[in-house]
Amino acid sequence: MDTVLRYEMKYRFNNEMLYGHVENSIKLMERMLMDMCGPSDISLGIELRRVLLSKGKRLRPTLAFLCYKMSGNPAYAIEPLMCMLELMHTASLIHDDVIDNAGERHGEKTIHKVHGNLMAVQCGDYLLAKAMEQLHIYRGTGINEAMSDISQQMCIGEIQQIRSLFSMKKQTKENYFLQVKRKTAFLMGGSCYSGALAGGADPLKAEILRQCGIEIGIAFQLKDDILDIKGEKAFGKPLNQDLKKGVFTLPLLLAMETSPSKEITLLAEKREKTQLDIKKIIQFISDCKGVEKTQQIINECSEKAIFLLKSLKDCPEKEILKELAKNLANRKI
Amino acid sequence: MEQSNFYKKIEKMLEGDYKLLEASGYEKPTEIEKYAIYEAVLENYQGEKRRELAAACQCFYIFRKLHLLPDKQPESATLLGDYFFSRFSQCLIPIDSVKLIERFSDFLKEDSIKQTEIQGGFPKEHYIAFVKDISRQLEKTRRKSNGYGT
Repeated sequence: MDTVLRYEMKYRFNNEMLYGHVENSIKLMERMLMDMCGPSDISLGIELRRVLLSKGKRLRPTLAFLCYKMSGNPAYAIEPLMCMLELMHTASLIHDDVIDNAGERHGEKTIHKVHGNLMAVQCGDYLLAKAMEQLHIYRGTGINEAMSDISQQMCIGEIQQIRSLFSMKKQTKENYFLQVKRKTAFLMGGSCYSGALAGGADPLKAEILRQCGIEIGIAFQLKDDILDIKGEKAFGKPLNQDLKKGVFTLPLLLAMETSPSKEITLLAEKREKTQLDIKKIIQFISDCKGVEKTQQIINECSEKAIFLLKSLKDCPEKEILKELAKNLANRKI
Repeated sequence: MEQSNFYKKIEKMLEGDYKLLEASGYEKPTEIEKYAIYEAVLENYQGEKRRELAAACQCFYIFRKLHLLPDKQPESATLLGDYFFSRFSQCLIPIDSVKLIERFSDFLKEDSIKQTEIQGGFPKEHYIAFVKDISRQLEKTRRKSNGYGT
């Protein structure tokens, strides 16, 4: 779990015992993950250990854990599910880095940059095989079916995105939200849902938590899209990658809704953009308050998530989930 | 007749997936490749969800073949491969066999390591033999649980 979230959870709640429970399960999950990396004397095993030890937020396993504890009637162990979620997520990140030709992830060189595309893809596939090993634990719960449906949706989301790159006509606001749900929000919702089911929640409660997770996921992705435009250099992420790749995110789409511009459309659709092109588009977004309007939607998603939780019994985990919804929407990382 | 109906039903199940493959510029598996897999299941397993098993095996085959192409076509081969893996798991899970999932997981682990160490291409004959073996194993389990002799 990254430093900011740890700080928030430990000190804001002043609840060392609960903090300890979450952290303990995360640590156990991380030990289990290390055991799943394959032989330590071959490149695949070495690379997987390097990647799994890098500073990921462990957000999906954390969501699953919180919803598990909120359900209060645990029928299954939670750590294998946490592993499954983190394995699926890490495999998708490794493969995404090949697809995007990304050089770095969480401050580490990507596998394909070090060893080539084939190694990276096979590393991701190895993690999928390890995720499969956990399936038998959750037979008959609905968790396995949910995970494979989400996995298909994530792929469809990526495929649709690639097919509509550099096209303002195809990248409408409606399509944007559909992509956000498929690529990010459904897995976060699925993490909450599966954690709840493993914790013995009834279908209604599990569904409420899924919807909560989806709202958190939408807020998270929208914030990520704002950071790509306005992130701080201190965090070391190169800016404006979405624009360069031909992905039109909500700040731009909302700006275009406010003030349709043929000039900006032409610039955005250029496959090779100059620094000046990017600057003009960013200025346009700023003039039309695209970022502020996006932040408003983020706040609405965060509020929806918190509202959904109102119907559930009060408990410390529910408070943490509420704070998580607020913190992710406001994150600076 | 049974064989022809069986093949038609699997083709129907995977119709949309094959369209996606072709729309992305890849060729569908040949008739010989497809029918080798379907036959391997049909001849060795008589129980429920045979179509799902054949479809799962086909999707897994396409997934592995695509994931050997990331140097030539990093974007489409990786992404489509992931899609076919998700379809494989969607077809596999309803069969509800722990042993089957274990066998596929072991195959995938071994093959992933092999491809990074040797890069020998996807072992098609070895895979057909694997499909026959898991089908036989499923049949053995089915007969045992129905009280038939093995």
